[in-house]
Amino acid sequence: MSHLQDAKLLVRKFYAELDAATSEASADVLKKHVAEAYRWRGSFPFNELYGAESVASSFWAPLKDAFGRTQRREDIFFASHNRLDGGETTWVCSMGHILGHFHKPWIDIQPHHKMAFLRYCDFNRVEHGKIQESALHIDVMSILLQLGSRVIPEATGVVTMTPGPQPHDGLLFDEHPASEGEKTLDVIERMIGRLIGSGVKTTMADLAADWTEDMLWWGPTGIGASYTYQGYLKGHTTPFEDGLEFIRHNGHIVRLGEGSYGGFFGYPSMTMRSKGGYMGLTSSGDTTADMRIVDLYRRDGDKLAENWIFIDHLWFLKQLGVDLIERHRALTAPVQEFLR
Amino acid sequence: MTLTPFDLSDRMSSYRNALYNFVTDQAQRELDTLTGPTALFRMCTPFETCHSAEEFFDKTYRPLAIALPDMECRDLIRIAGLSQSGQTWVGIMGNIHGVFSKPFLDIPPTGHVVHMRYHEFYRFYGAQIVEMHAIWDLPELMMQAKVWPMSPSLGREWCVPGPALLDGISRGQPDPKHSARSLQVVERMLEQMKDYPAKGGPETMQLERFWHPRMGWYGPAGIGTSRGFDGFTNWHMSPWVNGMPSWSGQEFHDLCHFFGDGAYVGETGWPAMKQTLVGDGFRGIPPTGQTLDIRGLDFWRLEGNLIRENWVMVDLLHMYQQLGVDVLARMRQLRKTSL
Repeated sequence: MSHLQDAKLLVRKFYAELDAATSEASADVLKKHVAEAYRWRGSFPFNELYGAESVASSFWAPLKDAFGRTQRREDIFFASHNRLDGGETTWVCSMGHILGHFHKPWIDIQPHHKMAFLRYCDFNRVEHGKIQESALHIDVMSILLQLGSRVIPEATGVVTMTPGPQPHDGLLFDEHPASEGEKTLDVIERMIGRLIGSGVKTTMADLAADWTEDMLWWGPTGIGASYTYQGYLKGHTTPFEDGLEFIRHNGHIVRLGEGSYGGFFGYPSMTMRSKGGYMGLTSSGDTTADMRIVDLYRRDGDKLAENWIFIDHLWFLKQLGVDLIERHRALTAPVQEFLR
Repeated sequence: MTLTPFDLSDRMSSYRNALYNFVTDQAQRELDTLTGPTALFRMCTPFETCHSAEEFFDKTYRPLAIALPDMECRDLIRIAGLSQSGQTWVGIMGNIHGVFSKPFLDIPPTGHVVHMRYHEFYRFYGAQIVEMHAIWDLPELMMQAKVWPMSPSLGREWCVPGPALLDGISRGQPDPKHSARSLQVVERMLEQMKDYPAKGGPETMQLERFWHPRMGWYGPAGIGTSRGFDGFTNWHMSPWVNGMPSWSGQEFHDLCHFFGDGAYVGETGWPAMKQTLVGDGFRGIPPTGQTLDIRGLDFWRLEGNLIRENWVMVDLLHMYQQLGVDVLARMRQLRKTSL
């Protein structure tokens, strides 16, 4: 178990060096800070990678080639021991956007020569002064929409730039009393216990028990954001429950909390079957598909006030036999071909 | 033997066929054959006036044929007649189709079939073309490439159809009485229309007297198509006169050339109107108080004494240019790929 403040400092140093690094230098930064047996969980189309070289050459170098000079705009930063392993492991969580000028092709998609915002949530496990493993969830579908691509129909929530916490106190660089984080995690677990216990069905009574009335649900691209109980039911839970059959919960990898902030991720968290309607999908027949999900929360008193969600929808759809990145390429392919 | 307007329009057939099976050099030769030595080819912004078939082709069709390698000009209307001042005019409307494969005026290619409307009027003296007025719907092309940098149309943006009765071409020699009757309906319609806004609201146009209740009004991309009395009033006429109420002061015969051809009527003018932008309405452009030259090329098709269809082209890029906006430059700015 590492000390939280040491782990935070290490990750902040890693970010500072990584963000300043050129495409070519990113591998050196990773090698300096990550362990030999580094494990990296990413979003589609990057998926899982191992080792500094591989993560740098597959993810960071191409991103920096495409985005040029990048800026990390962090909205949430905290560290916590993982409740799921009795506090054995230490994790640092960071959420926000990485912005740059999208100037060169990235994952074979053509740039729009304007700023692009890559929404991310990163979890790093720190041990023995090194980052042992990471889970970097990114919203690639948001980039497609920022390009003006119409790979998916209109969402039920609002698809917008996701803001940070309303009180602007999400960057927990300083130490916080452990009891606060425990309390946050208690409230989170109370809510998800209720949710999973009901087969992922949400009622107004459930919401009133766990959420503030002015709750905000900052959903991923594909669903969008919603406000208040009614807004959340309309924008997310109703279409989600109507369009998807809950097959099983696969558990989480971490459950973390510090101060008023906390959250978890699963890789995958849930296995679902598409019944039709959700995100404009049809029924998937007997095919089920996994969802890689991140949830971060802000606690207000003994309720949850805000929730930031990442769902790797591109990966979910890929398992159903739909590759939206390929579709985006097809939508733009003739132009690429002629502009060659 | 005196050549009638119909004969002259008939003589354009091999030129029009060369534009259909687009072979640039052949089409240019065909036009050159028809053209007198001092002919002026007045083309829309940004091309402007050319002094020979060669210059006209070099500025327009030649680069377009590179952008749309399989292009064809699909004539949908060809009419001819004598204007009020005895000039012989041939009017042609159609759509250019082609796979947009290379940039044109820096409009990025889409890799898909595109459509771009054209209205062309040719004035003949003797057997030779001495003047041309033509507008290509460049905003229509920009919209399909998703780079139209100005506000969208209030009407519908689409590929404008030809005449419902498919009789836009090859109707033979018209009955002069029929042509005169059609022309008279259009001229009376325009005179009546001037009452709006001078003498009141849209009702003063008395649309039902002149227009078929299922009228189709095919404006240029940027104004768009509207249908029916309400559609025409809401999506074109009211916004237009709200912005430029000086419409009511127009003396059409000063600037425009009108002629009838059976059930069809044509009009061209370079400019056709001079109107002052004093109110809010037209395309969301602030009223600058400027008086604009408006190049307007029209075709009307009548059924009985009612106008059923009206194809309208206005040189919007020319209007913007007079207002200090280089639309193509703004499009290029939006497409800029470097910092």
